[in-house]
Amino acid sequence: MLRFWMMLIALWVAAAAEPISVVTSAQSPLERLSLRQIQDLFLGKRQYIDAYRVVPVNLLAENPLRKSFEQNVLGMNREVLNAYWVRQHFQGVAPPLTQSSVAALMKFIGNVEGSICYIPSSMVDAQVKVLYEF
Amino acid sequence: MKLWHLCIPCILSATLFADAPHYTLGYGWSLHESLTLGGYVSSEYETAEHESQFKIDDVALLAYGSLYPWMSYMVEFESVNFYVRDFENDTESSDRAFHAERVYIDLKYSDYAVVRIGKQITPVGYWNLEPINVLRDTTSSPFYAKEMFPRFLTGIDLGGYAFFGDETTYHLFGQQNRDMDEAYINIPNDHFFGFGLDHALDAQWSLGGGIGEFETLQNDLYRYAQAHLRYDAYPYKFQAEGIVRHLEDAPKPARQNSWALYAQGIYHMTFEHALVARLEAYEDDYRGAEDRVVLIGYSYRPVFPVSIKAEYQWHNDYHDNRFLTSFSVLF
Repeated sequence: MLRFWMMLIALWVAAAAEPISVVTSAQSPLERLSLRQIQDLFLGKRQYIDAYRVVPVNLLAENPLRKSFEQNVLGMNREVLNAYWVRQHFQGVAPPLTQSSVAALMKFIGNVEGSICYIPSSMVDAQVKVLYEF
Repeated sequence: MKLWHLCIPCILSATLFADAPHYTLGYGWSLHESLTLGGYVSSEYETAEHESQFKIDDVALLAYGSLYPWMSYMVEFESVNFYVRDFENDTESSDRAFHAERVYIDLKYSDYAVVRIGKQITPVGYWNLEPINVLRDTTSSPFYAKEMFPRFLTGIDLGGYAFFGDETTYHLFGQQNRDMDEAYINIPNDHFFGFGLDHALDAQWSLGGGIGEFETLQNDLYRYAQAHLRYDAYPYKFQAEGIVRHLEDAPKPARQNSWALYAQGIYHMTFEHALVARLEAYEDDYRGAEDRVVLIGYSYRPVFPVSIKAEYQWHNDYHDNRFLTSFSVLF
């Protein structure tokens, strides 16, 4: 049991330490985004870059990569972020869609125009375009 | 309108669209991109020198969603004073009629120009945008947020990021008709126009202000200027808002200005437990009302959508001192 928890912690630390890239489909007209634009997109404050509609996609809540993204990119821990989305529920704004894995995210951005997501930088390939790297 | 009348379209829609219904407390029941259902309820106990009252104050249902990528909607119906028990006079009353609190559509082709049409919360300052008990840090609201400008607008708001920078947002709104449903309107009016700006200095600090005018159904024309400031960096939060209002053609010799302001600070001991302090002051020359209030409160949220609060208020006139406590849930 101890070994399981140590492996889990090691995986979490590895995921947390790895650089994260915000990516979209290689065919997308989107180019580099600013940190503020990425924060606003994933917080539901904006839906467009210029006149192009953007669809942010999250990993599931318990995914360590998502936790790292929230902490390091959005600058919010889970409790603060949860409070934020509860407030947004009253305003009629729902949180981003979710996918269960990085592979599912990659497939999603390949199929849905305008979608963006975050993946480990080591998984960037020719199918995606990097919009920002953290 | 009876509660079950409101439920019919929701249930029908749910049946049609519920491919993967998902419920989370505080996030609502997400049935489809075009339909999320939710609501809130709050109960409150208040006691002062000659007052003692328990009430189930707000019972509300809301539905929202995106109909098209460029169009979304929000519908909210609420019953205020759902149940009131007055211990001082030993009476009981109940008003279970639901009234339209928000009914609007958003048209959005750009983040720089979002058009909101219908009955909506007036986009002024911070407090007014999150007016319900469960989202507040105190059971009571300051006078500033209750009597100085119409809390709701039945009209059109044009808002979004300002063209000169994404740190600044604007609102330009107008109404030239009576309210869609005047049951819970603080200031019934048929003319309301305003403009506001908000600017984020950084991730913690923001400030803004606005101007506007409205005319009540008694033909009193008011003009106002408002300003707000906020610092938000967990575990600390501070915000202050103030407004100056001018009544045109007030009867002499009454002075024509009113003002109200408050400053509120919150310290989170843990995420669940917080201490709150608020100072507020107002003067309404036309009605001859004025007060200074000091408030100390405590807020406990076992989970964020569930709020348990208590506060004590000291007023200029000690006869008005009071204790309030409340329990509220956003579901």
